[in-house]
Amino acid sequence: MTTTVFELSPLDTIVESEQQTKPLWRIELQDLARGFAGALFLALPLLFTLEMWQRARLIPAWDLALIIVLAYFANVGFVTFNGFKPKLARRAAWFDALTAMGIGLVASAVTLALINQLNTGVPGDTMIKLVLLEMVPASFGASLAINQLGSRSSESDNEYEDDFNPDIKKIIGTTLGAIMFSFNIAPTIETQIIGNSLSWWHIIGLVLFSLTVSSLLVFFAGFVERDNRRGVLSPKWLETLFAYVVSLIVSALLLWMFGYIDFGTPVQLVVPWIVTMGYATTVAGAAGRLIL
Amino acid sequence: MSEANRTTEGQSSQDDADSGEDQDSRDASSQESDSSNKSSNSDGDSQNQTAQNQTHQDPPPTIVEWSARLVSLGAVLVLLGYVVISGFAATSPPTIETRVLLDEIEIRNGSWVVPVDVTNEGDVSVSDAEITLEVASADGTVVESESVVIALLGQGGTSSVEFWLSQEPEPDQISVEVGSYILP
Repeated sequence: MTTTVFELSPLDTIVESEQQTKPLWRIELQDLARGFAGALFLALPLLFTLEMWQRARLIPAWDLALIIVLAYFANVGFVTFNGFKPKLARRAAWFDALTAMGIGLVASAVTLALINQLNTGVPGDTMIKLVLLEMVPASFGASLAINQLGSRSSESDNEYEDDFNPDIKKIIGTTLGAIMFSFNIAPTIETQIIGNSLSWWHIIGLVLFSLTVSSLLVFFAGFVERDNRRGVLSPKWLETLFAYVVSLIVSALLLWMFGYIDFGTPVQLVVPWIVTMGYATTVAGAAGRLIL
Repeated sequence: MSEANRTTEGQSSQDDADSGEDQDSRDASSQESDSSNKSSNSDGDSQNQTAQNQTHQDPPPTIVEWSARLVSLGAVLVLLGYVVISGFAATSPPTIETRVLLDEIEIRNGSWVVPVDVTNEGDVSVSDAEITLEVASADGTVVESESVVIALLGQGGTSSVEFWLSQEPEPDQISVEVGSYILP
């Protein structure tokens, strides 16, 4: 039997939730409210960040368009593992990612207007870029609302994870975790200030400590039970090393996104900055492998 | 929080196992049953559910969620389209225009305060724009000069600055110049 993508339930559809019946539309409004709360929870620090407002004025149009497209696919990943709907059966990753971006748009626009970053003195082009740029972390927050603020379903939420290749799951978890938890640090200039002040001994120390903390978090702290399925990345040292490489790539992408590096940036500047940012993305990526 | 959908009275659970038949059975039951519809949830076949759940929900969303989806899609596409089109548009280089607000010159704490609006009329934002105000005497000699650096001047953006001078400036003696700026 075929199913269509565009199915519609009547407004008087009733579902059971927490041992009581509720109209489905009310549950959907709760989901949207949950997503909105998650959006603000993650994005508020960035909505108040000067570097984000500056970046919106300087970012090339094509870079911003690419970031929005990449953010959509990141949201698909976030919603697949988490989302803003407790019940797995009601999640539709491709659509929910889109809704998360809409929620992010609204949360960003309203907050920026309230803090007077959107006003008659700001050109329309700048306002659009500012809202779109801030939408990215806000949409991530909406997509991860359940992880951030609770309300997990008592049913298993891990059916998606069991269908993923264990190596793919580790890479995705590292990538999404690195993006999510490092986004607050990425736009700030402190990474460059720190990187410029480091000696090569500091850099080597950062690399080794990042690897150590990542391994500690994932393998020794015992936060969650590990997926015991074997894959190419099963050896702990290999998983830790590969996750670190992924985290450095995310670090570089974030620095590029906020205009701090490009292909013309000297290597002697890029390496310390990426390693400095990589400390945050490595810890965040390890958290992502645990949480997501 | 767990949710479970309840079956409509008179429907068999076998019918409800196929979500494609759900639509037909819902259509049929809406003609027979009372105003409230109840649909069943299939707990079996998690593999199919995993694949379908990328786009398919059980139960399908109501107009509320579909509205949220469509509004989100429209808003994102419109804004993204605007950004893409602006990327194709020809860009003019930064053009910094200055305007001395002569009627707002005043004395504060014994100094003469001269407000100036600085506007970037071009399509490219600049940073660290240096603006210099000079006051010249009748013979053209610069008697006083003050500079300010504007950290960020976005495209089409205006920044209001004030220069503090020790002497009262005559309007025709004031000149404002753009010294330098950094391109993105």
